[in-house]
Amino acid sequence: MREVSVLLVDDEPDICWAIKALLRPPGYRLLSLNSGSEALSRLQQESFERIILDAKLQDMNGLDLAERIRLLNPNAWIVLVSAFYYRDDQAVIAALREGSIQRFVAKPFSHQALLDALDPERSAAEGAGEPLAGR
Amino acid sequence: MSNPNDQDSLPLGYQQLLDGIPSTVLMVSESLRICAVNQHFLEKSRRSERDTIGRRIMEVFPRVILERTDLQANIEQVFRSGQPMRGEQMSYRAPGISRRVYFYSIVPLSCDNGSKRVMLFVEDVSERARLSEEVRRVERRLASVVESASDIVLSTDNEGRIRTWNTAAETLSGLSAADVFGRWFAQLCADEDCEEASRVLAQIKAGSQSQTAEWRLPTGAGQSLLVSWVFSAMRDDYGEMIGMVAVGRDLTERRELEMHLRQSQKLAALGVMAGGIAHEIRNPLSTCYSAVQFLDDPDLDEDLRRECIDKIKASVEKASGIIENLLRFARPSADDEMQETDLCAVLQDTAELVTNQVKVQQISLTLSLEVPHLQLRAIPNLLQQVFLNLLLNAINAMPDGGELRVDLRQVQNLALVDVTDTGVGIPSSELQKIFDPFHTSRQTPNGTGLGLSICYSIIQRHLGSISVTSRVGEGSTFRVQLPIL
Repeated sequence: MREVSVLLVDDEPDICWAIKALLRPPGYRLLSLNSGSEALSRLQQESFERIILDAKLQDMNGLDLAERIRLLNPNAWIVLVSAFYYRDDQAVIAALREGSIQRFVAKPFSHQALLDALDPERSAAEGAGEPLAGR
Repeated sequence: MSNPNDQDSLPLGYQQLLDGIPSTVLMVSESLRICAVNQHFLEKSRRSERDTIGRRIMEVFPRVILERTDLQANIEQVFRSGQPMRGEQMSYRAPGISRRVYFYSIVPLSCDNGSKRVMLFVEDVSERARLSEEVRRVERRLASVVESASDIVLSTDNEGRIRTWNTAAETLSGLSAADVFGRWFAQLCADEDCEEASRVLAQIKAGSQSQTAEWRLPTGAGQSLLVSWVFSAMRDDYGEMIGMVAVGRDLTERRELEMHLRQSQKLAALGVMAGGIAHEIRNPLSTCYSAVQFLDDPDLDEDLRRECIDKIKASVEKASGIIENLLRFARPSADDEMQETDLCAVLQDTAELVTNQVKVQQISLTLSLEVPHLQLRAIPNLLQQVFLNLLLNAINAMPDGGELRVDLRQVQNLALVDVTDTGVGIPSSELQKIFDPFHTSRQTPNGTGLGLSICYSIIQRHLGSISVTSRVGEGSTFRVQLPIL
């Protein structure tokens, strides 16, 4: 099984804890950072196959960060995870349509929903992003 | 001017004396004939001396006067008794002229030759009567103003003992004027206000212009009314203080209205914070949900199982802490109790309430307290509402993020709190109006326009002040000044 590299940007330590526990080796190699600026400087040096962004970071909005990452890395697969937005929020719908993010997952999320969102092979319609999906 | 034939002509000096008197003086013989008269009478009655002296009084005085006053009978009575008759008043109105009021007295005289005379003095007191009637009318009017007022109006002497107590005072307090007459005003106030009441009255006595206060007035059976008082000194024409006047208004209704207003504004504020609150609760919920999903795995290793349990506990505590804060803020509170309050704690609690909101709007919040504790007399819940309003306004002014500072300083006996944002700012044309009720800016179309007017009235109630400086495009600073203990 090939290892997938993931960058997690979230300033909530408990959310980082949960995602770290979920995306473990050998399937995933995870780096977690607390801020948008750290993520941007890291992405200058290194690229990641998947990027998980929190929508509300201390220093910037996750949607703005996604657009800036897109400029650095046009092929990045970006999943927005948020306790602020719902999937039918205009801002989220627009970002998905414009392609600045690939998937949206609302907190609290089922682990399966996050795993599905990280898998480009699975279509977004299969329930990823639905809060408490899989229940 | 006397009748030389009547043998009792007055010596010249006396006649001059009589003529100098600005009232009517007549001397009447026992046969009721006029034997002497002064100049004043002749002028007033427009008679000559010739057709007056020697005439009977019935021919000289108008019939109406004679009938009204029973003048003839009275004169005869004085002749009989030899006792003077004093202080009779008569009023007379001739057609076409205003009513005249006369005061007359009859004094018996005995002459050397044994004959009797009486002296009749008639004084025109019309003007005096008119003035005293006017005074009574004004008095009646003032009394009815005081009695008709729905506010308590009372007066005290210089020592603070009650002298007058109007109908509204009787109705509101349940105490009659007779119950309170002569009692100390301060003793009528609730026990906790008694001391301050004495102090305020002493200040009035010491020359202070006027004083205001809010004290409770017991109304019996353990009940009391909150009354807003205004005290002033009562002075006589020479500027000497002769007592105090107190006007008191029952604040119950106004307080209830204000409370409803504050409550609805509070709920509006909660609405503004809803986004931040949701964010802050969904995060711990998400942590719990993840932990539960890990625990669902029968092969879970012991370390992670332990971690999951700890995370669930901590997240539940965090979420319920957030909800508790909100509920405490949203709950309608009995608001009359001023108590010793730590301003620093109020500011910290308030900042805590908006942490969620600043976070979702990329705003950095800095709370800078010059001292760790600052005690003042306040209603903590109301002060919190003021600062929450100011913080939420500042957050609203920074839709694209920015910096929000709360600085507390102590300058002499004042606490200064500056709430500064780097937001859109307020145009100078609007600065005058922002504390008016229902004034809202176009930037916040969903506002009720009540926030700042409520802040203003709450701060006023704490004997403080609130002011603002602002520059469009640079931000605003709201300054709250409060007296400290």
